[in-house]
Amino acid sequence: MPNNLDKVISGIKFLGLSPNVHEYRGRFFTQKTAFLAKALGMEITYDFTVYVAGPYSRELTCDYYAQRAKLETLQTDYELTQSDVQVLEKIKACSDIYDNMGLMEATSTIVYLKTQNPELTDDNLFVRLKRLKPHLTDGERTIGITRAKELLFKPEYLTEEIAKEMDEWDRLDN
Amino acid sequence: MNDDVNRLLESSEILNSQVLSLTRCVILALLAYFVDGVQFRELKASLKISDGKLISNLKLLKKLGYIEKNEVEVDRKKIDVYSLNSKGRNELNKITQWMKIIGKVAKEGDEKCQIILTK
Repeated sequence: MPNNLDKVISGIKFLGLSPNVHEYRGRFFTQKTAFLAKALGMEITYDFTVYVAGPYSRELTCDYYAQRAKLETLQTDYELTQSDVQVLEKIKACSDIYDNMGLMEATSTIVYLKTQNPELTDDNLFVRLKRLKPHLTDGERTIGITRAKELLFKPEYLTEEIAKEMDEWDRLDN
Repeated sequence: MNDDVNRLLESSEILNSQVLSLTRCVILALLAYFVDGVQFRELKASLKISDGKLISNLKLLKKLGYIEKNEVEVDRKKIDVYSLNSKGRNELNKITQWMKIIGKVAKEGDEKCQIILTK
């Protein structure tokens, strides 16, 4: 049975990332990517906490420190399934979250909050995020909510009515 | 003398009493959990204490040789990231062992009292 780290490495490889375990930034994006992949449906069994430096998994940390070279050289035997690829394509479509650590922190925290409590409104999410991560900017919080919604969007949400409205907006752009 | 009571007294002597404040114990525990390190601003947001109070506690823990401070660049800003070193981890282990003994002694005392009280 493939282990969790192998799945995370495959995801990272697919996204074209090259994390360095010695660097804080590399570890940060590895943690957040693993969390997003799990939250969006990849079968990863690491547990994550949202508090302090979260989303963060202690087990994932232990695994990549123990197998540092494996992560850095992106060695993995795990072959992504069709469903994994769909999840990773979604993350790839929001690639700007990899340009800004604050935005990634905001987006992943919102995804965490939203998966825990899908009923939360945008206003509630904004307030909760501000309480949890007061160091983030309002801009990061706002864009984070939008990115989280894009990531959590499912095809079945696209009703005929919404599709029609979007189509009208698209025509305006042209 | 009860063995646990004796152990409590002996282990109290080897603890560094300077670490035994709520804030410092929580900082050590958080840094033990977040092995990758915790940003100053994350600690501040989580502990809900003033910059001054957090800085003085972190400075003391650093002076005692329990934690490390590294400067990292986050979105073009220099941010301090703190992590626990092996000396800090040893001290934290001593504290958790000591707390276990306290729990054991307190529970035993409580149970004995219950017997007396229900008689």
